[in-house]
Amino acid sequence: MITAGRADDGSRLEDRVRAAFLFNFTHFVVWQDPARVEPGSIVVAVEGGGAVEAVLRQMTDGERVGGASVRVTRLDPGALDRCHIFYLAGERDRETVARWLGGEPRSGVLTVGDAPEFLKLGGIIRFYVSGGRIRFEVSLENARRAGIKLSSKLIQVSQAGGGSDP
Amino acid sequence: MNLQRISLRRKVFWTSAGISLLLVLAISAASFVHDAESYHRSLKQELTLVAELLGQTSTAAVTFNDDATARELLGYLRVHESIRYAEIRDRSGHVLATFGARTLANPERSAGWIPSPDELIEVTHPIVLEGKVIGELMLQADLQRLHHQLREYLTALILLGGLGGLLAVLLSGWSTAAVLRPIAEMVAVTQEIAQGDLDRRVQVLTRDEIGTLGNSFNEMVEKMQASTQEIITTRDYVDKVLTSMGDPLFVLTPRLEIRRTNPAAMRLLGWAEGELTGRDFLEVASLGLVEPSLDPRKSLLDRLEREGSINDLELFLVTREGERIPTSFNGAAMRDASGRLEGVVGVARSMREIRRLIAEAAAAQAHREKASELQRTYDELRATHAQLIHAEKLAGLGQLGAGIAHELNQPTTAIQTLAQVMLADSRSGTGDHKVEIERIIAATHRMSRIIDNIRVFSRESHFDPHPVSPETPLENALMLLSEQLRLHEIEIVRRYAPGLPKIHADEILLQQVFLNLFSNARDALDAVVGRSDKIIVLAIALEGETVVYRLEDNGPGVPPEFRARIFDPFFTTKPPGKGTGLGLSLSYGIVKEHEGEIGYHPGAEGGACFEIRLPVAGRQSLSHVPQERSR
Repeated sequence: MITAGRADDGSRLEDRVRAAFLFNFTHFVVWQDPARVEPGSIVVAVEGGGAVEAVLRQMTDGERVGGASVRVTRLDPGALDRCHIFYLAGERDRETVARWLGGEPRSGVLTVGDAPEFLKLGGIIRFYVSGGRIRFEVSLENARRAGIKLSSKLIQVSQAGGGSDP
Repeated sequence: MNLQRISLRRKVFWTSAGISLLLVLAISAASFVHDAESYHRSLKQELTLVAELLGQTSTAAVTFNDDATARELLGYLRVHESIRYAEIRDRSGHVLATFGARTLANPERSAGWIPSPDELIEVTHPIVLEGKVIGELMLQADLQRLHHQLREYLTALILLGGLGGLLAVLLSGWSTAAVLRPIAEMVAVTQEIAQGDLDRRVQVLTRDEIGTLGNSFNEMVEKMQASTQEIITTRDYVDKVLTSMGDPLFVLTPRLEIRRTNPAAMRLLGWAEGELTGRDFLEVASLGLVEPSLDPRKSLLDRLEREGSINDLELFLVTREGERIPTSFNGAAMRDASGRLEGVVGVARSMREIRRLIAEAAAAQAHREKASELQRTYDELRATHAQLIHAEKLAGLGQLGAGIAHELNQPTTAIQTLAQVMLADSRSGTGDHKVEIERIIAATHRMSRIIDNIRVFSRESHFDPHPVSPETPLENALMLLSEQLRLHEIEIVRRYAPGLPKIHADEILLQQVFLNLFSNARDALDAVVGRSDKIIVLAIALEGETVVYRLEDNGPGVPPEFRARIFDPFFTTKPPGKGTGLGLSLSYGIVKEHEGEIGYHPGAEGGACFEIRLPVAGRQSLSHVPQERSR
């Protein structure tokens, strides 16, 4: 489904892979608070990743996940509760990450980021590049604390991320 | 091999054994095929399941293009010994991970009972995420395990099948023996019955169909025994009837071959028992009165067909020696239920004896006729003899009469002469006795005439005809009897035609005829008690050339039953001693001698009327030769 990033497409390909990953996470994630998906749509908020956001918008146009439509938006740091998946693009510093995440897992929000210490700062999934390919790792602890269940398959696929607690 | 000659036991045994074996074989084969198929199917199902599971688990790996995980997942297939190769591809056909070594052998199934160990089975399963196919998983497995399993299974099946077959054959043998033993016994009994031992019965031990069969069989034998007895009785009876029959009996086929005869037939024809059977009936029989152009067989058969029977047919039976025996044949057609001629049964009654009897009867009849002729001759002879005796007597009497007449003539002449003398004397003397003397003279004249008459009648005379007045013999007879007739108060009435011609006759013989007739009339009139008007009418008439005398009295006449016999010699109606029975017979002879006729017919007064017809003189036959006659 997703062609792994190839060198010839450059950063654009990477953005597309990230967007696809973001979208596909919806298939392997269950929000434990049923109220979170009540409105009938999954809201994906993207911060600082214009290209990713654009690709995502393309991808999710008309797509439905588990009966819900997917909507891409932008949010203020204080309004994270209003989305289901939050992606903080770019290798941001600790302060920025902390500002967005508030230093701990946000309840009901699958937080995804590229920052190296993203998981330590309360994030759940972090992208990284290995061998020219985009991989991701997860923090099961943060997910648990945020009330989000991750599919075992996702955990299986995530690179050594299972127990990479902060 | 002739199927019909194989015993029932073998047939049943081989049939049931064959069926059992075939059944075992068929069940084994079917179950093997079925099981092989199901083994194959279950292997495929197992593979499908593995592919499905693996496909599901590898969803994320494919989604996130994670070939390491995919490889790791395929690594689990190591525990599955049949799987030779596996691969996970994404939607674009990019292979994320493989397992084992891919074999390019044709993955189609071989056609054999047991798949080859190298045969491959391939399963492909799609990898789906949210209803979309994102890739596929392909598995290839070999059938080595299945091959081994099926071979073991087949071995076991052959062993079991062999055992089952053996068991089936044994069971067949046992059940055949069990079922057929009573039948075999029954067969043995039927053979004994067939050889005539109708007292044998089948022993019925069971209450199943064979038992019922046995009971029915026994019942049948009992009925057969009864009917056989009946048949024997009937046959004996029929045999006895046929044997006792005195007439030859023939039972013939529709082609007239002899089917059966009785002892009477064999006795008559001289053939031994059995020699006649099968012979053509027409060899021993020939038809009597049949046109030679007719085929006797066809004639007989046609008659049977047309009339159903043959009655009193004149048929000759030919004996062994060739003698032809006349018989009267009575036969009837025997027909079957549909009316077709089944045969002929006939009885030939020998006519030999009857013919002999008829011949004897004819001979006896001839003998009787001869005897009666002899009797007649004898009677005639006797009559002649009597006549001769009578004539002799009469001759004697005549001689005596002549003697007496001669002796009386002398005194009568003397009386006459003396009376005439006395009359002459009285004419000269006293005339007191003149009348008396004249009466004496008249009486003596009369006496002289009577004496003359006696002398004439009594003299031995020949038939000596000469012309005579018809009245003369009649009157002469009357004269002789006049005194008698007067004493018997019989009146004589004469009706003589005038001018009668003379007849050519011996007047003495004719006088005797009239004496006879007068004497009869006198006796007849005397027989009427208390009669006062006794009349004899004498008529003489001329009818052409014939003088007819009619002497009719008014007595009782001759009863009709005697009329034909009154001219027979010695026939008389008078009491013994009164008549000789010769009077009319002699009269008849005399009249015939005169070439005349004498007949009787009832008189007008109910009395007798005799009619004598004599030819006028010169009209009688010239050839007549007068015969001597003694009176």
